[in-house]
Amino acid sequence: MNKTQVIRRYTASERVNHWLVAFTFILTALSGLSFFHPGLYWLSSLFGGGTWARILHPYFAVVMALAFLVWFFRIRRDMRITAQDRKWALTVPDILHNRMNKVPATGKYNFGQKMLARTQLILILLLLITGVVIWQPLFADSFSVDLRRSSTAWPPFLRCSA
Amino acid sequence: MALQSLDLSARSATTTPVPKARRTAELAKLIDTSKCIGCKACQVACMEWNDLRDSVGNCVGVYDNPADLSAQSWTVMRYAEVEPIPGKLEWLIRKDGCMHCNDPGCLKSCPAPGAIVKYSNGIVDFQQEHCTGCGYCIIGCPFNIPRLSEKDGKAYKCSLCSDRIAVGAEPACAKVCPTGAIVFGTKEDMRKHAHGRLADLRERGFDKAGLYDPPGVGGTHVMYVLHHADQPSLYSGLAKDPALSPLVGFWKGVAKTVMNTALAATVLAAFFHYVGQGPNQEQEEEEIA
Repeated sequence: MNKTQVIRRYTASERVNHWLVAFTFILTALSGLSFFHPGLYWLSSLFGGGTWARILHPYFAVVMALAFLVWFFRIRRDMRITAQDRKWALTVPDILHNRMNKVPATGKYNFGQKMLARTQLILILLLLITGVVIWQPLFADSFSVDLRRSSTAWPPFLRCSA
Repeated sequence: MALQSLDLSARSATTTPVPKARRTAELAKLIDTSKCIGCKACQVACMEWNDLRDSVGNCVGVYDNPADLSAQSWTVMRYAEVEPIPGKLEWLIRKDGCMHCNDPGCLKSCPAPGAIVKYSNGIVDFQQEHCTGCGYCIIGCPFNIPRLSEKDGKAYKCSLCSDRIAVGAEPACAKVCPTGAIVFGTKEDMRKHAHGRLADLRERGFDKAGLYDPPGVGGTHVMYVLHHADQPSLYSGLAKDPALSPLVGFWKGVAKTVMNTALAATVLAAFFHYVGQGPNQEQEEEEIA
């Protein structure tokens, strides 16, 4: 066994890209959660208080969305659903019970990872659009109050899977 | 900054009881549109008392000046030339500003603890030092009243002169109104006063005259006497049945509950799965072999 012959799964730039998404996600989530429920308002202290959390939140989010879009573009070829994926999907109960010998081989990503990334793509795009609509003071005043009302419910609603 | 002499009945983004040791009478301002002559003394008094100076704007072809509410203009006279009966022109003037809803949409939408308070006398007041400038109060307001200041990014609106009321004075606009179109007192008294006015208006042929105290927002602490209470929209688009937007209700109600549950369920499911099944350990030797 030769440890030097392990496969290099990701390049340095891919790793940087992924970590950028991860870090900005954490920053966006923590600053956003502070507005989600009064019990979590203390999280805004991590960013220098409520006003700073409000100011920074959309910038974190835009960096995250852009980094994620670049990331998804890079892995788009590995995101195609194959016949093997459909077989894999049927073995989810086995996976949950750690019976990995019953699970068919997958490509670079398994079906679950593909679905996760695809869901994230859709939700991040929705969050980006609805977020711009309510972004004070940059853009919100250009949109109708009703449009802003319908956009406000989205961020907390969609955040769970991002 | 909330006035210590005034107890609260609600406080934004707060889940514990608010200070309400004392009981205060429910107050209201009554604006009689049938008595208003459009002199704008109320606008000037508001500027004076609250020390507000809006920037000089442009003439937009009507008497409305400034043309809209702003962080520096908490009340604006709105002038409407309408023909409720064809051929019979009427000039309806309405003093626009915060209605001080009993069920304030701004307060419900606000995510900053204590940035919006409702005193037990009914006044809804913004505490700008707690405001984060997110603009959710604008989204929550059924009357389109709050405005963000370009100077400091905080939201402003009529305070109903809460500082004057705290020391037993009436709001500046009511004090200065030369025709008595703006009166101030307990909500009960204001209702009684309004009914006297309505009897008079009906006698003079305005059989649809009525008191504007919309139940959709739990009633308001600024009420109007309208000659055409059946068509409030005649008065520069006064809302007929204002209520908390269902979208805001969805956002603060269903969306939050579902999200809270989903979030908690995900964390719990992941935890119990880990405890029950343990980690999926890679056996490096096997895989390479």
